[in-house]
Amino acid sequence: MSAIKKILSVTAFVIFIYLPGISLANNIDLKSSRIYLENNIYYIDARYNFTFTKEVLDALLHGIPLEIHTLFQLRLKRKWYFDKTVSETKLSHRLEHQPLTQDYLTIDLKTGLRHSYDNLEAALNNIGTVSRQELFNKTLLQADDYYIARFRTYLDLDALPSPMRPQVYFYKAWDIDSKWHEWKLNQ
Amino acid sequence: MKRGGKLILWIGACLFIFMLSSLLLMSQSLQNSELFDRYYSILFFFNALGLISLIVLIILNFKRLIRQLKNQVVGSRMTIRMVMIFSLLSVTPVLIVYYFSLDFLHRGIDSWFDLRVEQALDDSLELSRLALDVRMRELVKTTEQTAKELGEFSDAALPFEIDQFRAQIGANELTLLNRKGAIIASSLSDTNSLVPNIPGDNIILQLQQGNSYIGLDVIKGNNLLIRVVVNVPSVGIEKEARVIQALFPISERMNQLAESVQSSFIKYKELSYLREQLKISFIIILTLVLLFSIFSAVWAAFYSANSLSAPVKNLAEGTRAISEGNYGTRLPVPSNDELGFLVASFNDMTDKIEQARDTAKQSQQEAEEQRTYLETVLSRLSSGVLVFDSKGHLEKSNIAAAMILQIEIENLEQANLKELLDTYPKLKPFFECVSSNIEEQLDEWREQITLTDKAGDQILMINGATLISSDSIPMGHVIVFDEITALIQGQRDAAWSEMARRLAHEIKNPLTPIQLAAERLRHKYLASMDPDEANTLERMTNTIIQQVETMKGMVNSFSDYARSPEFNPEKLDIKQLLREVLDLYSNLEFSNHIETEIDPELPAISGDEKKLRQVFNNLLKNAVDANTSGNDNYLKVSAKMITEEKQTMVEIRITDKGTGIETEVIKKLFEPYVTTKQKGTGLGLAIVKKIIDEHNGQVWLENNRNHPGACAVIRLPVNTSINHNAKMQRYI
Repeated sequence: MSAIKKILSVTAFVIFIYLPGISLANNIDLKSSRIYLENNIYYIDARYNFTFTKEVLDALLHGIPLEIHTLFQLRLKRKWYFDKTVSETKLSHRLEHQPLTQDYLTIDLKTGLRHSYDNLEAALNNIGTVSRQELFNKTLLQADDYYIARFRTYLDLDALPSPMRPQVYFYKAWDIDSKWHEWKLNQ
Repeated sequence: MKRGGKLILWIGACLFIFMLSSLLLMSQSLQNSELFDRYYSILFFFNALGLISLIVLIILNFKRLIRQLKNQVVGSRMTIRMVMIFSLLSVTPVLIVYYFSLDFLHRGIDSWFDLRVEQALDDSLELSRLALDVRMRELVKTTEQTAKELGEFSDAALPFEIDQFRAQIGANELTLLNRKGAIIASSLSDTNSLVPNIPGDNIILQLQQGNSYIGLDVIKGNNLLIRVVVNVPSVGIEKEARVIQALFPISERMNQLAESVQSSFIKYKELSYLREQLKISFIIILTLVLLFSIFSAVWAAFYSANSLSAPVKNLAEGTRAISEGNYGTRLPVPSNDELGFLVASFNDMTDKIEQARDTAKQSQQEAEEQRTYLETVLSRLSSGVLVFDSKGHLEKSNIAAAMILQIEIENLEQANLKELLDTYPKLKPFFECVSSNIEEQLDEWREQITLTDKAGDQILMINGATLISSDSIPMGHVIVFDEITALIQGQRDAAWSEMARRLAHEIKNPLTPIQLAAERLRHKYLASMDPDEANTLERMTNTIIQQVETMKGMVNSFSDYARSPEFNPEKLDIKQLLREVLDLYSNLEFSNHIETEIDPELPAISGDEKKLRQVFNNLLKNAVDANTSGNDNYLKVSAKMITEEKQTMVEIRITDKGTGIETEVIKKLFEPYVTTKQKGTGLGLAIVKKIIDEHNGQVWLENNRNHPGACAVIRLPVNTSINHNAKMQRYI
């Protein structure tokens, strides 16, 4: 078989796997974000808008808990090598549906704080609102070095029940990810 | 086993163990094992990787096998047949198990779910809600009543009164807030808690629209609380809108029951939702196991087939090598089983074949040496040797045989007696003699034959013997023959010479006294006798004297023949010699009838001038005598160079137009005392023959074809050294 035929075969295979999950819905939109310095501490304010696909909502209403993480990183830019993560902060929430009360429960996995909401929008609003989150101390930044502060929010597929995983890895509907948002920093 | 084979076996075994472990862990992971839950994806990835590795291994093996099949490599057909059989034997039961496993899997998982169970769970959840609703409606009324009462207090007075109200209504928390969410007063039953739970923005918004809020909430742990938030009526001095929130506990038992119902409902819903995914996951695991089993079996089939066919392949290649003559082939003994025994036997066989080959080669070499030796001896033999097989085919001959029989030696190879007889009719007496003696199957025989051609007789002495094998079976016949013409001629010449010498000696001595006595008688008595008597005496004595003279001439001729002067060869211009002899005859009265045709390019020869002059004189005198007896005085002398049987010679022809020679006499004229003349001694041509023989030449007489008369032909070799032959002639 020629090399062109092999490439075409692999491409066709990938399209075949991805085709059922292709969705036009934009799942996580960053509405606003701000990084600021107070007393040598960097803080962040951000607000996300979640749009869950039908498949994700269906799973949530069937008792599947969803774990949503917001990851903050400070990375040192290096010319001839991979960037180095200097500081990392992670906010993790679990979203559950309570069939008895018909509420949506959000649990802060770090503090254990729980909040009930009678609608999903309110619950997601709670998760998608980052207010005055402390990131890192300015002293971490060295002179003459360039840094990138970045963050993203995503649905953790590995936290889903294992029977679901083989499918969700290949379904676009489960690709709930905001992608990275970055700021350039230096001292 | 080869190093490469061991490596492949180890890789295959490691891959097998790795994949088996990975599949086991993956199966554990599917059963919600905490330990492996997080590694499910990695395990899935590794399993897929292992499967791909197996597929790659199989494809590589298959490609190699197809290539071997195309190149018709020995053992490839057997390998592919074994792979197919092994694969079929292993894959068939696995596929059957797979089919039934899938069926049981579907039935098993479907049996977990029942509509009645689902309905019961829905109902119990609804029942829990109803039970809580009653309680919540009561609490709303209580809270609204409390709000009315608290509405009469100012914000400053409320902190002092609120504890009493909280205790009165039995709430865990009672908090008064403005509509912006700021706390005005709060009372908490839990003394460890300092901050009250604040209602969310959505609740405040609902209240701003004039609606009260009631709901179940989980604040900490799994304990349910009833949250009631109502507007505080503005009846007192405070004009700012206020809300009051009361958090009521639910009884422990109700809490437990509600939690149990909810968790069971959630679990059932989750399982119900994951039913298809579970099926798919189990099918994936099963399919992975199936593929793993099939690919492992196929790969193992490849490996086993290669291992089993390797000794057979080696045997086939070894056999081919032996058929091509490579007897040094040794095969590695694979094991101690039957195949190993077969290979070891093959090695023993090749050992013995090689030894036999070496022995045969040595024998062949010895036979070749003996044959070469025999051929060398045969080629050096002056006797001709012919070897016939039992069917009369000529198997062997030597150069001397070809030379004696005057035929090409190549023509003798692989011929039989009949073919030789047909091809060479002039050798008929020879081959008839050989054939008749071979047919008689005599052990040994001896015979002398004479071959006749225009050059004269050739006398051969033939000895024959039958070759007998060790089993006393006739294998063929060997014929050894010699040409004894020269020997017999030499013996004859020697005998004639001896006789001539003795005759000359015995006769010549008394001739002189006889002649003297006759002359004395005439001298003494002639004068005293009467005329008649005197006449008679004179006539008689004259007769005696004349006859004595004649006898003296005859004795001198004998003496000349018997005497053999020294042979002195030298470079000789034969043209010049001929012209000198012909000049002598040009003075004769019929000289104008001599025609000459001498090639001016005649080469010089090696010869004795005196003796050759004598030869030409004798032959020309004979020709002149012959013409005298005939009607024509024509005489022709020609000389030219000829090449016959690769030998260059000078041929001299002296032709007369006499009466010719009778056929019976023509072959005997060169023998002593044979003559057709009335006065000849019969020694002239004998001397000519003797001289020409000394020159290794040929001389014969033949009658003319186109006109009467005869021709004397002399052939003298140009390049041959005559010394050796001359000596040989003298020796004979």
